Amino acid sequence: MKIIYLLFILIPQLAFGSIEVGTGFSSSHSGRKVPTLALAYSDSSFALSAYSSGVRNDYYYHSSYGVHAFRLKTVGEAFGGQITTGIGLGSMYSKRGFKDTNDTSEQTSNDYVFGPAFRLNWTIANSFYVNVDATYGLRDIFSHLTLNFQDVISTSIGVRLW
Amino acid sequence: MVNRFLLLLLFIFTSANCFAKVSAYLAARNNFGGIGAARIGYNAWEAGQFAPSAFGVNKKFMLSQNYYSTFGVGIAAPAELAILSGVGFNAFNFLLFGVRGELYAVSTTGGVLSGAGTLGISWNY
Repeated sequence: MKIIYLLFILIPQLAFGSIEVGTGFSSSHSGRKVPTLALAYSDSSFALSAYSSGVRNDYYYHSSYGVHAFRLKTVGEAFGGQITTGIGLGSMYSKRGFKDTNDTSEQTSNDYVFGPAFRLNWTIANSFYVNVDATYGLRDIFSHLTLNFQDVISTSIGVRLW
Repeated sequence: MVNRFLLLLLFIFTSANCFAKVSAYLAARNNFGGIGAARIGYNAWEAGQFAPSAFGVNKKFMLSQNYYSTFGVGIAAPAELAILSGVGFNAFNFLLFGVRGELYAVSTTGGVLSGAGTLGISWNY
């Protein structure tokens, strides 16, 4: 019976990897410091991460959502923590709207970003981490040749639940 | 004789220069509008200008023979503590010099986040 209990505890961890929950900032708000909710699922070789952030008042709103998929590799240690690198793809969708007091119509605009992405995860004491998910959005080839990208960076601190 | 010469050239151009003990990296910033990175390194560690407005210490982690990721800490504009991260390549070792490029991300504790690319030359001894 004890073995069954043990399997019950261990098997979900082995089968489902780990869940990360964190908060931080993203660059998708054009410099405004809007907190993000960052979530990720990861196992030893793969991670799927996402973040959401938004701000709203009577005249204005701005919401951003990012999703990334990475192939992971644990590469070593630095500053007392374990470093995991991910290479993959990322995307971001952002919507904002503005309505002045005397206006009847709302002005809205959307942003889309898609491109290569990397992840750097610095894990301390097995559970706590600092994470950087960076997406370099594809635009015209000339801007990339001059080293410009539509960069969207999401940095978070959080805890790995199991 | 020609084949040996070609093999020697192939060896020089493809040798793994990322494992150099002492190294340096000097790169242009985006739009080639100035210096984007200027670092000196010893083994896997580097110090100096990480990105156009970020300075600090970073450690390189090899992903393959010519590709790496890097993670570090430092100070970035506007004078805040920062996490420095990036991925890059380093290839074509010729007379100790190579071509190196990096996509970087700088995240400050105040929530200022920036990223772009740097491209330049490396020196690997």
